[in-house]
Order: sequence, then structure tokens, then C-alpha cells
Amino acid sequence: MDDLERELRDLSGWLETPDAPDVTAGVRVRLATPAPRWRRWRYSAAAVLVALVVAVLPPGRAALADAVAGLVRFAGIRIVTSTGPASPAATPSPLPSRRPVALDEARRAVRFPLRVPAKLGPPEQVQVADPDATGAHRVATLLYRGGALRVDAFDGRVDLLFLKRAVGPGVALAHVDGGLAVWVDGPHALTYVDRAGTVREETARLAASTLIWQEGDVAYRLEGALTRDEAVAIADSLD
Amino acid sequence: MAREATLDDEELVNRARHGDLTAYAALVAGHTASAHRTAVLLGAGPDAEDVIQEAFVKAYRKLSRYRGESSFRAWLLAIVANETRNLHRTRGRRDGLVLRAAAADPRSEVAGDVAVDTVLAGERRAALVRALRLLPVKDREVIVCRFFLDLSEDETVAMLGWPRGTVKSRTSRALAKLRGLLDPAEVRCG
Repeated sequence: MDDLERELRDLSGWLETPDAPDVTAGVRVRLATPAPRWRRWRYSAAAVLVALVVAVLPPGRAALADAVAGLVRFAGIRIVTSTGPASPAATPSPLPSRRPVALDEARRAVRFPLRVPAKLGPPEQVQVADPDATGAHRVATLLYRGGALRVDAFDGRVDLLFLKRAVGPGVALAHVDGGLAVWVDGPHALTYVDRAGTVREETARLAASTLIWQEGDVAYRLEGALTRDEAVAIADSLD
Repeated sequence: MAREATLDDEELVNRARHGDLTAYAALVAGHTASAHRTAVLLGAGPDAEDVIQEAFVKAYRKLSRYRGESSFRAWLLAIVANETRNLHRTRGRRDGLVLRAAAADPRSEVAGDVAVDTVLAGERRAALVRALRLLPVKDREVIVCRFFLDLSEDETVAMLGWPRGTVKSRTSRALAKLRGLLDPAEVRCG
């Protein structure tokens, strides 16, 4: 060890580190309460809030739908469960400015780490959508099985607390990587709320079963003809 | 360590994995000081408490992924480091290292030549801290791991998630940069 290394070790004792707080009680409370609390994110609240709000509305709860419409204005996705028959899935996406790109290019086109589920391997096609003024895209989509299976990754957080309240028939809670997730079993209409707050309806097709979850600063949505266990296994395999 | 460790980390991790929150609380209590120091040294500043609380909650939820390939401490500190980076990303700034005030130096009461030596040593430390602040983030992270947190090379590999070769080369490059930054200062003092 040379002098500089010795000096650095000596310096260690001189660095000001405040006394450690006791977080044991706080951590216990958090772990005993399954619903994530907003306080957790109080330091990220100051950042640009690109919250992905996912509201899952059972039929016959129109009043709630109206109440939700205000919340949804932020940004993100809204899902309305439907009892109607599923239409063919050959329609444009509600995502604005969507374009196909190579995986490498997609990684450069989004600000978040684009992860691929190990269980599915390399995607057949990759798309990015909803760019901001600097060209950073808000959504990246990985397509598999000729487009019948898709993973959307959104730059933003799902309001999981809100999600949990919205759970109704056809919608169940699940767990991905220890965190809360929502499983929508069966066809439902899909709405995307873009950066400007414009609600984009996807009227011509109904989404297949969908799993929604959050990891880090990225919200994910997995859609396809899957059972809940299959969907969770794919979600758990994100690299 | 001040902790009354009747159970070692491995046993506590096992119990916590099966939902034993008391065992996990013991792990939290045992590693709070080191997690907090890590967050502060990596620049979390006044948010260090939030960062470590978040890290402990995440660590509990990810316990099934911890396979004992590194020490629990190194695995936990990796999560703390990651949370601190997230914080920087959202906050857009990082708090630098802060040198303890000279008044806290027990040797500052002495007089004469020793006092002069003390002043010089203090200046040298301040120069070192200034130089550290100028280092790129990754260089600083590896210095913090190896010299301030006293992590072994293995633990540094686990904490930073870099290959061993990168840890080695980054350490020597960071030391070389530090020497380069300190040299002019030495010329001035000499």
C-alpha cells in the first residue's frame, strides 16, 4: 500500500458522516403494510412527474369512472374491463408517433434501462413511441409471437396504491419480484394518456389478458394469451 | 460491532426469507450504520435516511434473489448505492464529501510544532477531499468502497456489480488521477 492509499484510509475517519438514524421501526411498518406509500417517493416527487396511472374499472361503476377521469389526466394508461366480444387485433396502436426500431436503437431512444424478459429471449420486433422534444421516447414495446404477445415499458411510475383500490371483477392482485402487480384476466379496452394529457382510445380492438407491474422507475405491461402464472413467470424473468 | 450477534447474518437472512420480520429487524439494526455511511459518502446528503429505509425495504423484497454469493453487507450496500444513484437522477445533484470540522480534532489543543503539523495535515486532508470531488462518479465510487468503507475486492465487485478486472483497473486509474490532481498542490506547499 502506498502513501496515497494510506492517506485515503486515514482520511476515512475525518469524513463527516452524521449519526445513523434508527430506521428499524420505519422499515418494519413499511414491510407490514403491503401497499407502497407515497412518502417513499417524496424525493422523486420533485422530479418531473410522469406518473403512469392505470385505472381498472369494472363494468357498472360509471360514477367511479368519472371520478377517475380526473386522475387519469396526469399521464399513462387507463383500462376499462368490458363484457363485449373481443375484436380482431389488427388496428393501430393508441400510442403516438410509434415506430419500429432495432433493439440497440431502442435502448438509445429511451431514458430508462430497456430490459428483456429472459423467458422470452430477443424480441421479434421493437417499437418506441411518444418522444419528447429531445427525442427521448416514453414507451418501448417488445413484440413476440407475431405481435400476439407484447411487453410495453413506460418511463414512469404506476400509482399502485390507486391500482389496488380500482381492483374489481376480472382483475386480481399478483406479485412480480416481490412487488405488487395487477392482473386483468380477459379482454378489456385500453386507453393511453400521452404527455400532453390527451386521452387516446383504442376502440377497434380489445386487449388480451394483461399484467401490470413496476420495477425501478419503469412501469411494465405484459399482454397476451397467457395464464396469470405464465405472465408472472415472464415478468419475473426481466433481465 | 456493537450488535449482540447471537445469530449470524446467514441465519437471520434465512429466517427473514421465511417472513420473520423480527429477524429482518435485527439485520436492519446491524447494518444501519454501514448503510447510512455508504449513502452519505456516495452523496445522498440529507436524503440518506430515506435512501437507506428504501434500500432496506427493497432488500427484504429481493431476499429470495440473494444466494449468499457475497456477504449480506456487500449485497445490501449494492442496493444502497443503487438507491443513491436513483436519488441523484431525480434530484439532479449530489452532495460532496464533507470534512469534519477542525474543532473536532482532539489533537488541535496542542501547541508548537505539533500544532503546525496538525494544520498542515488538515490542509492536506482538505486538498484530498477537493481532489476527490473532482473525480468522475465511478472513480469516486470505487475509492469510497475500497478506502472509506474498507470493502475487500470481492465485496467491491459485489457492491458495484462490475467485473473484478474493472474494479482493479478503475481503482488504479482513480488513484493515478488523484495523484495528478494533488501534485500541483504539493508543489505550492513545498
